[in-house]
Amino acid sequence: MQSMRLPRLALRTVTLATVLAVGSLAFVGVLPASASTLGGTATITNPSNGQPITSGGSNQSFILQLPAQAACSGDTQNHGYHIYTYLVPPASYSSSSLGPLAITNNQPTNGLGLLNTAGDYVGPINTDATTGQIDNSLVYAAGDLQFGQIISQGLTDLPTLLYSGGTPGGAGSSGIWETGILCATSAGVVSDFWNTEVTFTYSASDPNNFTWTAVAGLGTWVPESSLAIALPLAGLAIIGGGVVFTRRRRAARVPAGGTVTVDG
Amino acid sequence: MNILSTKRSRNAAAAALALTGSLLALAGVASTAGAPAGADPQSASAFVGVGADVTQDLYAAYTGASPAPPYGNTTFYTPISSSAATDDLTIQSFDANGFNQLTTQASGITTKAGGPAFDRPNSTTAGVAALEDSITATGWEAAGTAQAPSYTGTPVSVTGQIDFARAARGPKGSGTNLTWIPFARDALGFIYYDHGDGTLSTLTLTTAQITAIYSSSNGEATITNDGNTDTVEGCLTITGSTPRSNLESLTGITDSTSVGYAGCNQLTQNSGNAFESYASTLPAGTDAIIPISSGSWIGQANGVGVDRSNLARGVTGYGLATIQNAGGTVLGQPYTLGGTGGTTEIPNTTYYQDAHYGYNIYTVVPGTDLSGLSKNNAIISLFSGPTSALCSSAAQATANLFGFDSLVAGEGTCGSTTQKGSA
Repeated sequence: MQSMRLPRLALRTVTLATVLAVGSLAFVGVLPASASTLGGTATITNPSNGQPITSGGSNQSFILQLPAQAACSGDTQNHGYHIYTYLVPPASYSSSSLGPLAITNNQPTNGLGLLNTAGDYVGPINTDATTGQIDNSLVYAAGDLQFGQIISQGLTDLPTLLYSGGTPGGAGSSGIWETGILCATSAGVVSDFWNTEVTFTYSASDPNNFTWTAVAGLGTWVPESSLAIALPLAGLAIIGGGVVFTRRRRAARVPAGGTVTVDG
Repeated sequence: MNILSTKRSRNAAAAALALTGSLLALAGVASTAGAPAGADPQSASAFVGVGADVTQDLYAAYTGASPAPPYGNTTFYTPISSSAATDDLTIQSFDANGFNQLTTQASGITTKAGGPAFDRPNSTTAGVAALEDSITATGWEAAGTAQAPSYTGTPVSVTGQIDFARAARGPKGSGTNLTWIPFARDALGFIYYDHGDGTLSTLTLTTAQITAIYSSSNGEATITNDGNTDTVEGCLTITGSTPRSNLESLTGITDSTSVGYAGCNQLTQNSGNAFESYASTLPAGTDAIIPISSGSWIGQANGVGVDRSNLARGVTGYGLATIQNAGGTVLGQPYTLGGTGGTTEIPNTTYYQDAHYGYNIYTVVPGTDLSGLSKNNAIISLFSGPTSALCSSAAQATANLFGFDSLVAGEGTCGSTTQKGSA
């Protein structure tokens, strides 16, 4: 009887660990946990051919491609949600909520945004009616995006953009930034966002003195990684512990003669 | 099934899956990536304006056609656009009234794809209020009165739905969210109805007489001219409308102290026909006046705007009053006749340049469009500064055609961004 309980315990342990592991995956956005998308993937894309691009000069035009059917948690027409762009350094912002960034007077507060080829901030933009889907023909109606506009329009300065290494804003300097598309409620609260991580690097030959490389998604911006990794590891530890425990109990119950007693 | 056939089968399945995945991926890219701006109509990127009816026909010309189809008799113009460096963006302008409707009729508009339907702002005041609401995350709804009924019946979020307001008066209140950018000048005129004895049609109407009519407790006064004495009713346009606001500025009276004559104190603005509809019922010995935008009157008379005054133009007993200002200077009528055949109405610069009867007309934009993160270079290129599109010689010539005078020294600088307000 006892020997049957042990496999059951191990089975329960495995089940619990699996639930924990799946839950942790859902937490980091691998599985759709709800209508809200936080930390989805935005891919920098060449607007002329739809192909991803991972690097470029400051005046390279691009759009941010989101997963098919990407949608805000609510639409503009019925729920007052709008689409905005954002640009923030990772250190002070949460990769699970974009906090403390918010929208006030139709622009991000506590953060920056992306400018189009006209040098204009992109946002607020309407979602598609009813579905809340993010429609590129609306987002980029007034022009594609250019990182160089951030400097040429005076949105920030080079030392702020290239904050790390060397002399900030000078030779050898660079800066990691998080950028993408967000949705906000009518009260300006971020409800969804899709991210790409960009590294800006000083370049003396570029018109705005920087180039960029990009990694779609959250990249290194995962301050919650301890939890995201800890949960699956905890699951594995429990599984391992259960197996070890089971083997030890089994070994302990085997008499010296090697006969295993099994209750009818 | 042997091992080889199993492997082939798996390989075929994997290949089919890969092919299907690739096709789906390509389909996804093709359906959503594209070159977004290139092939879409200008309306997808055009800036949206609402507000004053005074300048709605002029702005219609700036969008490319006035009177805007389907009114008919349409003339097509070169649309104004932002600079090439700011992507040549254009504007679209929503009238203060729906097609063939009055400003006092409920009407809704949807200005951008995916946006909500909301109450059509039916005046300068309403347009400015809606623009203010669009940047403060406040729901916009018309006043809900008989003169400004609500189409939606509830406040609607207009965030991102309005880019500028047409204003035919300066800012009020102490707010600073909005910037009034002047670009031309209009003048306050008065349509009169003289019931047959010449009391008003031969009268030079003084500011004192106008003030006496509108500050009286019942909105009327008696006027004697050439031996005739008539009762003159002071009619008013709808609350918040430009003619009413500018009349109040001229006389120092307010909505609470100037009720106008009871039978005609909420008439559709800048509509000679609405005034005629009322005045034609008056008994003998009773005349009436109503304030109007001189520019709107002239634009209608010249056939470049939607004609809402044909029943009161060229008809015996109706006309635009000759005015004497408070300083005793006779300004004349708001227009003179010129052009081919001498029948085109042209703004009378003496009248328009008067400090009390002349007033500037504006484009109102959020202050955040002019500096900071949300600085909008295309908006700046269109409206801000003396080199903006609206201050160009071509745009000014169009304004003149519609009955508005270009600004001269002392009146303000075209494209100036110094005037702030929120109402």
